[in-house]
Amino acid sequence: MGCISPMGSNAAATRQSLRDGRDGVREVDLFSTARFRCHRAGHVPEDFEGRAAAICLKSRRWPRAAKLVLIAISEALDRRPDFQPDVVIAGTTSGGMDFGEQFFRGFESGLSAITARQLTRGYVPHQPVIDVLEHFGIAAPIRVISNACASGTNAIGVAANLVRRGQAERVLALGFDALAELVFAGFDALQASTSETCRPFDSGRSGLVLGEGAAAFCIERGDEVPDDLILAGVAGYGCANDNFHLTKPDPSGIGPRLSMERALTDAGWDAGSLDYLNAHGTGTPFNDASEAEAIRAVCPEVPFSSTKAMTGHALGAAGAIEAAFCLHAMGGEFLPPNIHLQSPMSGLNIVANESRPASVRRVISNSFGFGGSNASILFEKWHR
Amino acid sequence: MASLNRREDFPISILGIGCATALGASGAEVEANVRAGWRPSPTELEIPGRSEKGMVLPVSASDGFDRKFPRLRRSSPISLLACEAAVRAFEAVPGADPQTTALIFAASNGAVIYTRKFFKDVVATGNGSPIFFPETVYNSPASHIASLLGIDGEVLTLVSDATAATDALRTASELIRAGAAERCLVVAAEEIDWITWEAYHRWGLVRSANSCSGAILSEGAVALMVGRPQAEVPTVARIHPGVTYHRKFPMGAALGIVLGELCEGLSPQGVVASVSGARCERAERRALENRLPGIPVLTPKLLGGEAFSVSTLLQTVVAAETIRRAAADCVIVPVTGWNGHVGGLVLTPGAQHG
Repeated sequence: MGCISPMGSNAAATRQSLRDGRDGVREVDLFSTARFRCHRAGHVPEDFEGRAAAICLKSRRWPRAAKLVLIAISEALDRRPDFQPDVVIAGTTSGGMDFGEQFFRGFESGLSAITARQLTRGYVPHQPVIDVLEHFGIAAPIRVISNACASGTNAIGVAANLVRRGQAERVLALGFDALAELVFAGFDALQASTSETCRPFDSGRSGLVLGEGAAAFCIERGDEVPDDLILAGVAGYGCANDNFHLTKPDPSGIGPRLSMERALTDAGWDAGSLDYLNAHGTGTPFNDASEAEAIRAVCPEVPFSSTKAMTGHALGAAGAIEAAFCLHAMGGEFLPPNIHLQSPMSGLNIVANESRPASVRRVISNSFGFGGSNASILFEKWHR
Repeated sequence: MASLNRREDFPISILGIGCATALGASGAEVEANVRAGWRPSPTELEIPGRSEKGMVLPVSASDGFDRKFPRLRRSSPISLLACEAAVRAFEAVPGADPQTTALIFAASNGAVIYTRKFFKDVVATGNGSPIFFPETVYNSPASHIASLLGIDGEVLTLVSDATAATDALRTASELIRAGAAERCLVVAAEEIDWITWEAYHRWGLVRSANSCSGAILSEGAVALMVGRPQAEVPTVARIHPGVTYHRKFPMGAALGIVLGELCEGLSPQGVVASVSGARCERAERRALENRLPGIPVLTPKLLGGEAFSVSTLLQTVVAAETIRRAAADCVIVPVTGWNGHVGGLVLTPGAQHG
């Protein structure tokens, strides 16, 4: 597993930040936010470009997202240097969007053909993955899932299913997205982002803040790998499409409820056996109300948190990053906190403001997105 | 070279076809036009601030298509085209059940018109339209299709170059094989915008009005309803998982691997090629000459233009109709993406799998 997020760019830093409930959200300095309502976002650590260049010098010419992918995959392969996947499944919403923005801005000023080609090529969502795999000498085909903010969880679920069903032996699954002005402006235009502090599952919540990052996972059959190399098992995956509205979830929570129930059925688990739920929890009034309905219906006793109050919403990367957080919760024996809670929504078992020590064996992670995309994935502490 | 269980391909039969393309609205019409060499007339595309004009083949959703569905009132052309093709393919299969059908949508450029308009407003005024932004998301066409047809299970959007469509067919095959879906609706759609044309033109891949080289950019949608293999129904018998090419491993070498693996143990009788006039596709011609010398080759993209994943499904439709007419019983569909991927398919009259 490799992960870079506002919680850190390696496993030790990430785990400590989660345990401490560190707020990774700060003022945006990648582009001007003067004309937006929201001015803050979760940023990856400032030294990430240097880290990326140390891994691959060519990355200086890559879009921001590709550098994040490089760091995540590099960390994942540090642990499994001999991992040669049959296929790579990546989730993203915007690929190399910063290159697309540069192309648009440069059009009138007259880009050189070489620059234009570089920008066009880098903008395509799968190109960041191709560039990184080329660096590591991995020749596997790449499938890019773009199911809005559920993409990262979809990527892990599809990858795990390929392995479980015997359709592939080894799959590299990842999610990635970098902060981009167009997307930032989009959530601002929808008034989904907040000018205040992001407070998921708080009665006074007023919206989300965006984030960024990448996380990558080497997925293969557990019985063929030494125990000390296995971080967790993928026990189940479920997805559902609620068909209610392009951007709003069905208020009944039917989509999240179905995806959680389908994942539990896939694993053959009872909801009561879950030790932790990592919620999608964007902090928007609509999302959290819908997800809370689903949690109340499926697993009302299970302690849960949204880590997006610490990281911001990393869109297509969110599901993969939060899967990594779930594995840290298992490995570190704690429940990550839902920070900034002042007035928690009622009837929910929220891990409020501070992490809790806990034995964590079974977890569920939710990701929901535009278009009615809902996905849930289950992880279990590895045992033979 | 990694293998994704290529030997265990699970064939999928094509049960329904829907098209909204420059070459026609049905499989039979598309194939007849390709076989006749019918070439729709391209139109000129204005590029703001430039005297040079692009050559494109635009497609509109048909007048008969029900645009009154509330979700489609303000949607982009790509969504209208995708829904039109999807409904045609879905309705072509009697008894098709949305509850047991998965939807796999493939795109390369997505809703580029609204994306460009939205970002233009952001750059100019700092505010973009809240109507445009949700439609710019890659999975918005899939969302509209799912809502229109009532599909509430697996809905995936795959994004890549022209190989997004082979990825989609491969995903459909995996889901059907695993019993996760009874049928899959595989849809590809694209829309033309001047900024897309401009981007590919700067790359030297698409044709301008005063040039005769490069591909003619096109748009449209193609949808296939696929299910478990059935005898005497055109069937995608092999779906190559794809090979990535780059500077050190060029497209021709990658395609040679794909063709070699696709054709192993088979005697192909025809090829529906991916060539569309862009210079990077010389590699395809050479690979075909090397691997399948003298084989009859159809080139639908030279007629109907380059629409990326849509064109890949259009090639598949032409191959399927060739099989349906019993003009061949093994047709190869090579797919050469412009952004690092090649792949391919084999179509046969039906599979031995029960």
